[in-house]
Amino acid sequence: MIAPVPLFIRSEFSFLNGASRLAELVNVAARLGYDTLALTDRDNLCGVPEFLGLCADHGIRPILGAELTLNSGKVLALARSRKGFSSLCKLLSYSHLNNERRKPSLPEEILLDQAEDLILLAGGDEAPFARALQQRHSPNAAQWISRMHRRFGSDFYLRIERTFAPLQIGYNAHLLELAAELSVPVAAANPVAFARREQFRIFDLLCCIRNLITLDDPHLERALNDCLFLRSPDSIAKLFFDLPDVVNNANVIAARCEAYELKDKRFRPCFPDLPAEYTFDYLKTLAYSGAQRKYGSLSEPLRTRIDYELSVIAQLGFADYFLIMHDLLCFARELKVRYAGRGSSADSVVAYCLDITKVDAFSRNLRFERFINPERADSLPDIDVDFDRRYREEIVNYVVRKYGQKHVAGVASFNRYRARGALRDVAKAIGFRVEDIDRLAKLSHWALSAKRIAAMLESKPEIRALNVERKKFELLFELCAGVDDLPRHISAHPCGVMITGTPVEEITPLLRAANGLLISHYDKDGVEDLGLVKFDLLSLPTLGAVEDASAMVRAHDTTFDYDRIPLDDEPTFELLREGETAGGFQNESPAQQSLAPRLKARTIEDVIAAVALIRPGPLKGEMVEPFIRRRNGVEEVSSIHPVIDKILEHTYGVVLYQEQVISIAVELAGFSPGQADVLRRTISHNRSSEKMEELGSIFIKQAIARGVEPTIAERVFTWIQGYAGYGFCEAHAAAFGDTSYKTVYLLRHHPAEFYASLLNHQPMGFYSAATLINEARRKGILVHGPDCNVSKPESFADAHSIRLGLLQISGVKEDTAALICRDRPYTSWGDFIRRVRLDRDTLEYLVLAGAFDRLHANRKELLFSLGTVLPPAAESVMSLALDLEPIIAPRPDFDLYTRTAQEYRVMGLSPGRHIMIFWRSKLTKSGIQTCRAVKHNQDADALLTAAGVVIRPHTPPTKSGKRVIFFTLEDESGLLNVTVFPDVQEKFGHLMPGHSMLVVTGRKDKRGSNGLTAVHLAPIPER
Amino acid sequence: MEPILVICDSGKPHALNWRGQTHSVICVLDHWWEAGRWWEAECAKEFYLVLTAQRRLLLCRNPNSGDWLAKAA
Repeated sequence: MIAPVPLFIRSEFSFLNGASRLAELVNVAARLGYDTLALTDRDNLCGVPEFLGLCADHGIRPILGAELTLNSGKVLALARSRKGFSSLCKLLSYSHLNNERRKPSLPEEILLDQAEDLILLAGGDEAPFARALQQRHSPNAAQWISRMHRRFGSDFYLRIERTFAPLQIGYNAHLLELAAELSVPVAAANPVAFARREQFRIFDLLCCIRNLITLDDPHLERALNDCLFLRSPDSIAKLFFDLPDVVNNANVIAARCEAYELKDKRFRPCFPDLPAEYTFDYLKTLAYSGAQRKYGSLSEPLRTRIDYELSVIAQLGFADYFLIMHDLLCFARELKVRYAGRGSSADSVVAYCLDITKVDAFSRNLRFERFINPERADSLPDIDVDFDRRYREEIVNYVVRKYGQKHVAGVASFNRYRARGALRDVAKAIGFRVEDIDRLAKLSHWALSAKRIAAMLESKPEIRALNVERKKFELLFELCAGVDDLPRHISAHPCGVMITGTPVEEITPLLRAANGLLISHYDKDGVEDLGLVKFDLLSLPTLGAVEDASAMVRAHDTTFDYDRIPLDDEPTFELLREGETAGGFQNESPAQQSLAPRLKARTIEDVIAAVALIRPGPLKGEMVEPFIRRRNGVEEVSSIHPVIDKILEHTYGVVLYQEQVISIAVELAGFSPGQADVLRRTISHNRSSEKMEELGSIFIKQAIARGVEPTIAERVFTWIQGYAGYGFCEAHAAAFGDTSYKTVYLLRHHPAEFYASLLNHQPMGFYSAATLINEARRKGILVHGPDCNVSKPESFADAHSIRLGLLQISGVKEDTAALICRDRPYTSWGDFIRRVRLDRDTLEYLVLAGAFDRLHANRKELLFSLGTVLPPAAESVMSLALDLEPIIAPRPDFDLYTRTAQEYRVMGLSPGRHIMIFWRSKLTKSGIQTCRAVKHNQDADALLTAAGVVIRPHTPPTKSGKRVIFFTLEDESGLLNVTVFPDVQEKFGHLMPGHSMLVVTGRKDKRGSNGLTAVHLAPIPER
Repeated sequence: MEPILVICDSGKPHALNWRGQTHSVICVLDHWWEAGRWWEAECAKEFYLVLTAQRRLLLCRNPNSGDWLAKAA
């Protein structure tokens, strides 16, 4: 018996309509012995790039198609040529772009009019004619079938499926009769929605999630049985044993679908401003003129380096890519938009000369091959640039204007199930109560694998507190594990923008993201797999904050230039060493603040190393402690080989950076730079012992051939093998290190301006506005609350003080703030409310924020006076009694604590004081110290106690696998980092979710980080 | 539905004994599977709609026990 080729397969990329990962489907197909396989996800081609790669790996011939939702029903469309694929892309774009988001639908007339080289199959209970056939109205069905047959001719087939659904036998019999009557061929194509039969449970669950119903609810879209799995050729052949022609037709269809390549250099964009033959020369001119500007005289080694990079760029055809990026950044500069190149592109001297990055790759002797490997012609360079968040959209609009909407698209991102999302959706489908779902979701880390939910939650006492039977939990955990990593929906990647040489819809369908941007169906990996060029244009709020702070500084010091901040400013290093860097870029997290007093930064190199050290890789690879010890001269840097000693000189013999691995392989073992980068990638990503052994023997053999002692060669390989996987890109660390240092410079020398700017760019960074303001106050900056006669919409700094902006107040929008600023000055409260017509809520919030304190200090009186001029309804606008003077009756004002709490409520902060001051005298009497006192107490054995507001408790993955809670305690004196190990959690962990303020007793961290290791936690006493 | 004795041929109902009388199955009108309430550990069931000389009967087979149930359809 011959089996039909599986022509109708829905993968994970059918988004809640397919229950198997694509890789699993292809694996199972290969194991079952299929040599041809189609991918036909519902209304998208998201899985195509990955599918092509998987099929190539398994020696399977891929057929590309999609299940199209027409306005009348569903059909299957298979691209039988490259042209057919483009046609499918365009039809899918039409389907998405002309309908509501996530509800694609293609009008039949568009399909009839525009389809090219597509094979169309219609059948099953969702076919456009299905209802007519089920109701025995054969003429209506025949009409539709004839219309399609006339249009598509031999490319049109009726599809028959056998999935053991009720009424299917009769339906199929009618279909076969009609097909014979109309002379339309019929092909066997069972729908496949999951690879293995047991995945039906997940498929059914996803259907419930999709339709917002519970498992107990019936729904027409729910499959009645588990027969939508990928059957073996034998099993499917037996199912259709009585219809050999129908089976044969499926195989004819498969044979008619040509093999074609999607990768095509025509898709690479060309720099449009000059003819192709001049692009390289232009790039060369730009590179050399940039080098002249940056270096003055050009040394021979510098020329050699630039020429080498240019030759690789020319050889791989990347000149246009560089010019496009250069042009884009010229536009940003014209607009005075601050930007900074990041990532491996900072390994390039040409990129530096073109002002794409700010890292001098030549002076740092960075490895260009980490950015572009001359021996990997298929891998495109990846230039990542951060922009001031406010202007990124403008930059993208420029790209669209310059290259045309038809050649530009955003990149997709697939939102996959992790623990929290899985818990929410699955628990809802099982029928958990909403409040229980909320509690469960809060207990789980959002990014944790959904497979680990059981292990994570089972031990928690909160679970036992929920009144849910055990069986229900077991089902929840099992199903959460089943949906783990499946994509739930598609959204726009935050920074990827692709530009294509030929129209983008030739290679990818488009859809509209929530922000209105047209995006490809492919994610960043898919785009790269198909050889398409994308640019990573990122938003970095820090750039906006430094730009605004610089402007404020320049208002009183015209000589200030952020880009010329000296990189050897001792007071800046002093601040860094103290770890008092809340608000700084990449140095404000508790981990960085703990590292700072131990690392004792003295140069910009230390700042760059700090950026690289506090990363999962170096932390996991245990590189931090040896680095610190050697940096501080506590441990000697052991010499291994002169070549290596030189390469690792600036990292004290530790392989901290990926570029160092490349250098070792090149200089010690004589690898070509390209081979060395392949070695680095292999060590980083492929940890199979055979591959390691193979690489090791090559490395050792080549090193010995170059005169290295065999024992040393072996030792070095074992060594880089151990560390290379954890290394960080030096170019990226250097790019971030520059901004990191300069933000600390601003904190040290211009804190008022910088904190005011940080407030204006929230949300950003690690800390809330309240913490930033507290830090500002601690640095002696006077913080003024909002004032209706003085405040601007945004916060601003003036003579070592900060005036909070009106936008800091909840409910005050930009137009309201502008209105308030326009009609100044206000002579009285009555004058304000008569001239600025605001709703009651906004007026109340302005009062509670203290915006009228200088007109009338008693806030309670103002609130009560509102009742004399406004109707009581909260939402009412000031329309009555406009000319009345509010009657202010004398009454005692709110006490200071209430005023402060109200300020926190309406602004998220209090300009005048930290809330902890209201507990201070009681705490002092109880022997509880301030956070600052504990932080600076050097007694490692003493039990110390501090109290404060709990900030950002988190449980990052630890090397030991133990759950360790880290949080920061904040009071009026500053921040104190606290670590809570499992034994303490067991006794006091229940206090963590419910209490925003805690009393923590513990001992100072033995490593000298100034943090506290908790031994006891308690709720804060009554005030 | 009530218990029934079904004799199968090649896995399909061929004859049945219902309420003390034996009936030959003239033809199978429909055949399907239902997964049941799997989340409550209910097992899948196989259904046949058959035509006998007397009436149409809906048969249901529990694949775990091999038991059959029937009702007039």
